[in-house]
Amino acid sequence: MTSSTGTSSPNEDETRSKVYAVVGAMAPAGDATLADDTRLIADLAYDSLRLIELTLALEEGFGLGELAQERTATVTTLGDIVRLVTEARRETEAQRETEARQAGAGR
Amino acid sequence: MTERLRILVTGAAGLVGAEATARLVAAGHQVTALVHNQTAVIRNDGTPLEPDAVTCLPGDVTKPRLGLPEAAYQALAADGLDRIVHCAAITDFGLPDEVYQAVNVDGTAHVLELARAGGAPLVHVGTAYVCGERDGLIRESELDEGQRLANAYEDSKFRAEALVHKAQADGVRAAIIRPSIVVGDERTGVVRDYKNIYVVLKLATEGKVRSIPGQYEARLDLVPVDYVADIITEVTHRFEEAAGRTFHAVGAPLTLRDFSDVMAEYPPFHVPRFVPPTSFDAQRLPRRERAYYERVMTLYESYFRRRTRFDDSHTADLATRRPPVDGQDFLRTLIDHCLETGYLGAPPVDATEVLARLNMTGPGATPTANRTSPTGSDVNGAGR
Repeated sequence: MTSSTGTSSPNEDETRSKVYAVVGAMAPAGDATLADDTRLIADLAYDSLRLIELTLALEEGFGLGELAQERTATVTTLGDIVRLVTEARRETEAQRETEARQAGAGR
Repeated sequence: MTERLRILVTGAAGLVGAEATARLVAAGHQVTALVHNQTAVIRNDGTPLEPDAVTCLPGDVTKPRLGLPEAAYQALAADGLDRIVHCAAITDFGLPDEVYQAVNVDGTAHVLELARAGGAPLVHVGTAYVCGERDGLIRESELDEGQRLANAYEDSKFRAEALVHKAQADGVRAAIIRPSIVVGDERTGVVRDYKNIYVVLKLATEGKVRSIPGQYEARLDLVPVDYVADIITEVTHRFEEAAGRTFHAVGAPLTLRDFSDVMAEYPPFHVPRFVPPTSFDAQRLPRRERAYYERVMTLYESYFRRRTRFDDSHTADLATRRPPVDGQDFLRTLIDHCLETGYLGAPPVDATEVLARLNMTGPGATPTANRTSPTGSDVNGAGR
């Protein structure tokens, strides 16, 4: 689990607005107001299949690795997704840095 | 006119429970509907039962005394119910094991306690798929044949039915009804909830899943919800004849070849190919298809390999109504209804399209190879 203490990542606001855009654009109930406590199933009418498509959109749109089912299973609100994507972006970033360092060290 | 019976229906808000409740109420019986989260009984066609036609009792079969206050439970047990119709069950796949245990197994144990306490005859609704992965002809008189059960759902329903048998040996009077895969109305195709086989149909016809490990000779048995409810009603009415017996409420067996042929009649539909399980490798699927395969199709995979056939001679002996004769015709009725309601035929915009609209495809995006390539998902088709 990534620590959520300390200053928030500079791109957290950007992540939030992009997540809102994707979740809103894919929502079966299209005209709902979006907030961090908006519920995906109860408020936006997502069903299990649409949630899979949303997972694919988040992975692809944010350039993330595969989001494991165990991580997506606990998501119920828009705020949960913002946190999940923020965390996954940090992990992807860290992964890339490690790979870059290893590539540099191997030279 | 049959005598007016005092009947408790568990799971009365569910798909089968609601239809059974509606029929028992229409027949003039005094029905108490045990409901969990719902406060009304809605028929399969979406119309609610008149509130004063039925007594709704909020309860919870997972709890002792069905989660009822002591007084309410004692009233049911002591006052004498003429029948208990036990429909409450979890039929969704892929939930944690403890959910099936709590609702399907413990729930049945709690209902049996009430039947024992009140001396009430029990009509237990199980599933034909307690047969697990047995192939060939499945008889109503068979339960434990040493079969492998494919998932926690089947396992829980098998154990629930075993509990009923045990209680019967101890003097509880019971009849068991085993529906197969419950789907829409025989004549109209109408269904209230799109679950299980409908989800598979949706993924397949939208081309989200293009190859499925399975055999064209495998058979799935679809049964109309109204037929199941009719059989439950008939067994409830004629309990003296039905007691101690098991009844398959099964419908029209369809091979996967039959499914493919019907799907191919609909121009907008993709038709999946069934590939030999031994030559199927999920890891070779494109990410997109693999996500759907892993999260949904794996739950149903075992059903695409079975060549099960259900004998229903007990039901044929007792019931006046018979199931659909032509499975393919019935499947067309079901699909036509899904097209009318928009469940099938018009998939909502996919991830790629949404991202393109939002200008979110670009350098940051993960390349998803084969996503749009029509040949991409044929990797597992070669061994067909």
